[in-house]
Amino acid sequence: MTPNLPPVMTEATFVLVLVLLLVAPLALAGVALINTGLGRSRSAAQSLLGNLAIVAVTAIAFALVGATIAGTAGGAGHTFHLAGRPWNWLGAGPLFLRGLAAAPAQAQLGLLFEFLAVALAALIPWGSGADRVRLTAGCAVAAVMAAIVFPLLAHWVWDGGWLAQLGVTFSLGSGFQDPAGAAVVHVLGGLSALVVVWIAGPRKGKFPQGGFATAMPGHNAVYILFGCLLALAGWLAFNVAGAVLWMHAPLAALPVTAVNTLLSASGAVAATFAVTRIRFGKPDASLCANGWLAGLVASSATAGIVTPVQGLMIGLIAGVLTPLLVEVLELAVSIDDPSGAIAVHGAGGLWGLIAAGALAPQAGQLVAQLVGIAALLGLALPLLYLLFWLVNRVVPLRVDPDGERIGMDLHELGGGAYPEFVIHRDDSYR
Amino acid sequence: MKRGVARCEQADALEFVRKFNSTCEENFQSCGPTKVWFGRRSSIPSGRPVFRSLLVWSLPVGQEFGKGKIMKFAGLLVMPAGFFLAIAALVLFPASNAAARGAFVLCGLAVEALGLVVAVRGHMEAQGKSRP
Repeated sequence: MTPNLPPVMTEATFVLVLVLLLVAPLALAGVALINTGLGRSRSAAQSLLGNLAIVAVTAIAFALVGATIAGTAGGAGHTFHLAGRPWNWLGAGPLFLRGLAAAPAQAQLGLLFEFLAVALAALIPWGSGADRVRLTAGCAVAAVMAAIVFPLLAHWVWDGGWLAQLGVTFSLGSGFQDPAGAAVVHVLGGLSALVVVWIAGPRKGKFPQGGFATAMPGHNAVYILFGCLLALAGWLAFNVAGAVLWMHAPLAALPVTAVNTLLSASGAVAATFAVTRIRFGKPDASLCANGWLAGLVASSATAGIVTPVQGLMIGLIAGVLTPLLVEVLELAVSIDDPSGAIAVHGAGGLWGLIAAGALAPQAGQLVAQLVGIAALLGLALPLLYLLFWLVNRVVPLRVDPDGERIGMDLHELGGGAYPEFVIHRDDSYR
Repeated sequence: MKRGVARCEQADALEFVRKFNSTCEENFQSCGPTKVWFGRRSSIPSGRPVFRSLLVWSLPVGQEFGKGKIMKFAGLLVMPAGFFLAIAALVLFPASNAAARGAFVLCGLAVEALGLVVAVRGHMEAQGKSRP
């Protein structure tokens, strides 16, 4: 089958997307700050160093292995035929980024987008494993994500794989639409967070026998909220660049994409503010941050597709769902997720993908989105569990009890993030 | 350290089985041994005491491999079945029959949701046992 070739990019579009992708790392900085702020003070330095190490590890693993598996849009791929239809399931990019400088502009920018996206995806489970996952294990998990799982999904969704081709092969709208990584980055990150939390277990004292879950609030609300503002700048860049790269949106449509991103986040934070105000009497800062991020995550799927009013509504619903889901996961399901990544990135991403299908004008788009979600839940989650379980056999995810007791900073780095301050002990949560 | 504890528990279990066999060998059934032994491993089959001893020895005594973990694995194994159901919908139904296609894909997602619920329940089961 002839690959679905992207249209030729003009010089002005190339420069615009390149500049946007140079701003996109602000999303990584924002998520790193949020991860650190939502953890405990005795693990802050280890957490932020982990974020940095994970960005580095994912870049290396993706360059060495992942880029070959992901391939490029319009490039070669491994295809098998089933029921008379082609299923492009694996990319066949050049080894070790050979010939990158001579590649078409679209392929080069697509690769840069994927480098940043894989780093963002790998930061998500690191926040969920805060205060008990070892630095080496976090890097190993990130390497596995960047080398195997992310490239596979990136090929399916962005680089002409079978999900992107659903419109051609099965007449399902325009195929699976995920312009800024709601599925490939955020749902993948949320599912990875769930698996990491399952394998590593809860923090010591989080779920005492025969009692309610212990509240372990984040240690720095300023980091969390400033991280949200940084994330907005990065998300605007990701969403606009993604719309150009993967949906071939015209330049005139880009301001609406940016407005939709902002409205989605704003609607979400307003809704979370109201929900927490009603439930607890006062708005909760960390849950509002989670709501803001959930709005941004949902916009990753929808910003380039919907109208501003629809964008606002999508954000409002994400903002109502997120604090409730965070509470359910912690209190009813005994999942200790300090950063709320499973609710924010996992559920927020799924909601965005469904909304993008439901609000798209093309017939069959919703079914295409549902098939994509089925692939994420039915294939990616068991694959992630298997791979992380193997990683855990080689590099145990969880720190030993003594290390958890003294804090990850002292145990892993030999020094704390705040040497002049008194650090909380376990007893202070009682 | 964990292994040491496991071996210690294994030795205790063997000692218990040895004593138990010597006292109850004649009226084994009436003693109701499955209720005395390791309540959470209700699947230990009946048989001659010597085989029971071997079975107990071969099982990972003291390690967490209870109902919760099995439920989690079962749930995760069910999830790919839901995915293949969704793919089957695309292959089996033509594009003109969009309603049937959509319903079948939803069924696939429902199977995946069921698998996820079982896996989460398994996690809760295991969590409840390992609470401090």
